[in-house]
Amino acid sequence: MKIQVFPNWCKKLGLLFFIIASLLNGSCNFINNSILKYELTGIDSNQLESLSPENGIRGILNAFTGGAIPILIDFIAIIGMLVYMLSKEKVEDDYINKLRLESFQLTTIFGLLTTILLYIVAKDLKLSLDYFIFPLLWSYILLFFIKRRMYL
Amino acid sequence: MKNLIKVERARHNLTQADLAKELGVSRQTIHAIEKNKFNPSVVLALKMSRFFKVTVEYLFTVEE
Repeated sequence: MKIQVFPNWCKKLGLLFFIIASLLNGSCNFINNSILKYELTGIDSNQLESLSPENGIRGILNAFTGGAIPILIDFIAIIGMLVYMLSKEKVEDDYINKLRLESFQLTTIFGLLTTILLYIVAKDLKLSLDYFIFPLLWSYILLFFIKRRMYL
Repeated sequence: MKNLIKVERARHNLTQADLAKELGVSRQTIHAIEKNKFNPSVVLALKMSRFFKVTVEYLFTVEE
């Protein structure tokens, strides 16, 4: 079954959205974790006014959107990746289909092994869904990219 | 499975990109077939044999 319904130019667009949104998401998480770290080490996070979610650019955005910005960024990244996955290559043939399938298989195996490992290491670990989805999406992109470039 | 794609391509003085364009596949596909990393579909094998004006049995041989 051919599920690649979008033209090739959508691939670049989807990838661009995914990378930008993922980087934004990563930097937001990094800032949040930095604030948490300062709070844990006893430093008052209110002193870090520029980093506080209630201040600075993020504070303004959160005030306007009611805290929907991180969710919107995640949503854009996932939609971007979906568009990338559903877009055709410049030349669609059996070999590209094979590489795509192998990338999906390896990504699934990677996801399952990571899950098993996490269960072994930290049984009571509770993560939100995006902690699982984003590494999977990134690993699919990287695997497919490496496999395609292998025979250049 | 062995193949003589590289030989035939050289005989016709074609690059991998030229052959890929003629057959409507990617250059990576031709490279992968030549390196025996990928076995082409029946359709692609027939297209190749028709393009080089040889038989499929000549172009592709199964190793014992």
